[in-house]
Amino acid sequence: MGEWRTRGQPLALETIERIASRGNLPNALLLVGPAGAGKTTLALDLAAVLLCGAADPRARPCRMCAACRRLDHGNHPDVHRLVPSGAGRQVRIGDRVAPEPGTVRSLIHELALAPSEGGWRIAIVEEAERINEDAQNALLKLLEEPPERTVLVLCAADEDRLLPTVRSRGFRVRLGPVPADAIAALLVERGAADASRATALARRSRGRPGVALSLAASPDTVLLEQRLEREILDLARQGPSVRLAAAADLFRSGDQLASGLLPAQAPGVGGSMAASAGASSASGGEGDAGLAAGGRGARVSRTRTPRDPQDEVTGEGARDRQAPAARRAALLALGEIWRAVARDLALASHGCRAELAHVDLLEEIVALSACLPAGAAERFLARLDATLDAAQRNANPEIALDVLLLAWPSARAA
Amino acid sequence: MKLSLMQENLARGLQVVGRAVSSRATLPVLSNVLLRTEDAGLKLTTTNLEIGITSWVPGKIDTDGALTVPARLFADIVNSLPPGERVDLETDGADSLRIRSGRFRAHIKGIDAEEFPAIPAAGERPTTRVSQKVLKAALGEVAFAAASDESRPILTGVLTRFAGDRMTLAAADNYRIAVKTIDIMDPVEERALVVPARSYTELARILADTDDPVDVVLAPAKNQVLFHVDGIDLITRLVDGQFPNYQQVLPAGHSTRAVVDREDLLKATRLSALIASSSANVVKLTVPPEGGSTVAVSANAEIGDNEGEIEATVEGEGTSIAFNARFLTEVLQNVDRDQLALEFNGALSPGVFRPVGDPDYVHVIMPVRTAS
Repeated sequence: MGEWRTRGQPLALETIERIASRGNLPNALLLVGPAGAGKTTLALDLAAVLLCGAADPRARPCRMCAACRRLDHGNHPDVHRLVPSGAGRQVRIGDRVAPEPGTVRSLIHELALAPSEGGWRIAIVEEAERINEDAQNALLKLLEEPPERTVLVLCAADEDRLLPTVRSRGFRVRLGPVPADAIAALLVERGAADASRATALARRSRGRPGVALSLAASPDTVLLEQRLEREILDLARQGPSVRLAAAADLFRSGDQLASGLLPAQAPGVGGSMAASAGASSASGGEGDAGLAAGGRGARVSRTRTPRDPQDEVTGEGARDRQAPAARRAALLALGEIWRAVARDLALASHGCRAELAHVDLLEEIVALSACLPAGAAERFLARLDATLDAAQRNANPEIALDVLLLAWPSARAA
Repeated sequence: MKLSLMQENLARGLQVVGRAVSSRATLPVLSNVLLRTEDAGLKLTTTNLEIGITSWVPGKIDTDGALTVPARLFADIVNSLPPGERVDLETDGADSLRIRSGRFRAHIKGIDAEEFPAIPAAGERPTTRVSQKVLKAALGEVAFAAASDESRPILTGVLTRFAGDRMTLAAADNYRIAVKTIDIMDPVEERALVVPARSYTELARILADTDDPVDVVLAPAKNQVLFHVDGIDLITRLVDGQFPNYQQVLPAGHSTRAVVDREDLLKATRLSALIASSSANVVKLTVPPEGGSTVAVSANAEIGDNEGEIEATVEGEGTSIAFNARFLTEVLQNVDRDQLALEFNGALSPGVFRPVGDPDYVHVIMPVRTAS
């Protein structure tokens, strides 16, 4: 039995194992699932099983042979990875004449050459929804007439943002949330956290091992998230003026989460995290390729130069200097935290204590849920989705945040 | 691995292989040069996955071994060492290298040699051999015509067809074709492959102006071709796919023929290009009917116009035909003869450029349709 690194995705893994063992792979695979669920890990598992040199097919991927080791170190010449880069965090089409590495045209150029080792060639696009429209169109030809023994793996958290022409050409494999105990076991196995911290992080990651690994590597992020969650809970007991006054501080925290001001603590854990300090997130082969990238890890590796947290000026000033994309990213990061809190409140109001993601806030959440009108948390979640959606479509992030603050349920006096 | 070499030999070897190191490599190991002891020296190998270059440096080996180290850094260090001195190299553990020369010492970290992509060596018997000088000249006359645009990847390559004791090189983009046939020294059974034009540009750099042969080895796997000259190997991957049939585009006859001096036409074209570049970059050639003795080169744009005349020997009908100035300049720059025959068939048929005295080269450019 080969060493697969994908955890808690029995159906997806079984599909991949089956098509890999049959040897007639679809030209394009579309791996769909939440950010951090393990799409890139599954894609790399597929690459490993196809390229592994172990004599016994059942032992593949062996993770020991030269091919497996090269893959692990990002040095396999037949594995091509495209990751979003640049200010807009997009997978770009690239220059016509001299396409930059990591762009769609560089991939087209590479695949136009005869294979270098004669075996399978695997192209993995992380965050395929970030391929811009021109680049998707350029990719179409490759999807329609791919070279022999070539698999294109598109990983997408939001497949609706892919062009229908691209989406329809992929063989779809879905990844769901991973059970918390599987994530906790993974964290312990990797030495990323001890058992009790692993359990807490696994719950906090809500089924996304990639997120759990990033959080394990960055305790400061966890602290910031916890502070925000507490603040959001407290706001439910406040009137409109206090809520609106909190906006500036919330924005700043969201910006810290989104722009990765918090340094990754353990180098080598979370490939993309390790690269976050540098300006180059374009490097296709990241350090520890075996780890789930994407999700929070990928979000942390934004190309903005991290500022020193001590340099932070007051909210308004800092906000004025931010690019619209950065402000939107801050709101979306905040929205994710908020969604998790609202989800826990909704669960708690139905008595599902065992499912709560925020173990540390268990008592507060249960207490607050008792003070909310029936269905308030669910209604807020719907509102949150609509507002974040609008923000992605260019709604003003500040106003969107104000809307959320005012829509946040009010606790009745107990 | 432990060995000693002369500084200047090592520096020269690193300079040769440095051409295949990409400054923005996709795989970390591609920024490195592979050092491997072999026979009586050190083998240096680099690759950017499109081409690989190997160079042998003579030296004295104490123990065998292999390692990759950052190519730029290693070359910079070696170049900074005193010339004429002995350089001692020794691996330190699995992935670092100690460099010692005279009173200088350095220690650099590398990557395990096993991570380096497999590059076939020229061990096999050459498929054929070609005079270096002849191949170098042919590449200069053909490779520039390949497309640089990636939209049709096959056109970024140069068709290389072996048949009997001849080898034909052909390159085309959507507007021009260059074809050259040269002699090879050993007959080969018919075979066609498409080599990236960029690889040929690098090969031309390595070839010397001598009649000594370059060995050509077609890899058995058919996806690579290797060129070997004294102490250096260049291996390139091939472009996958079918090269378009260019022969049907080569015009069979002509109604106008003018023989001109290449330098004269180049100078006149460059002058007209100064005017032409401000708009569509179109230069017009006007050939008088038989008996005329000059060809006019002109440009007409909003910014102004110009006309130059060059001496010519004209046969056939008079005609006027317009070309993109860049394509015209490039063929005139790259052809290796002094006299050029221009063969036209009206204003809208492709123009043919043949060097006088070289029946093995032909260059075709699509004309530009002009309003007048």
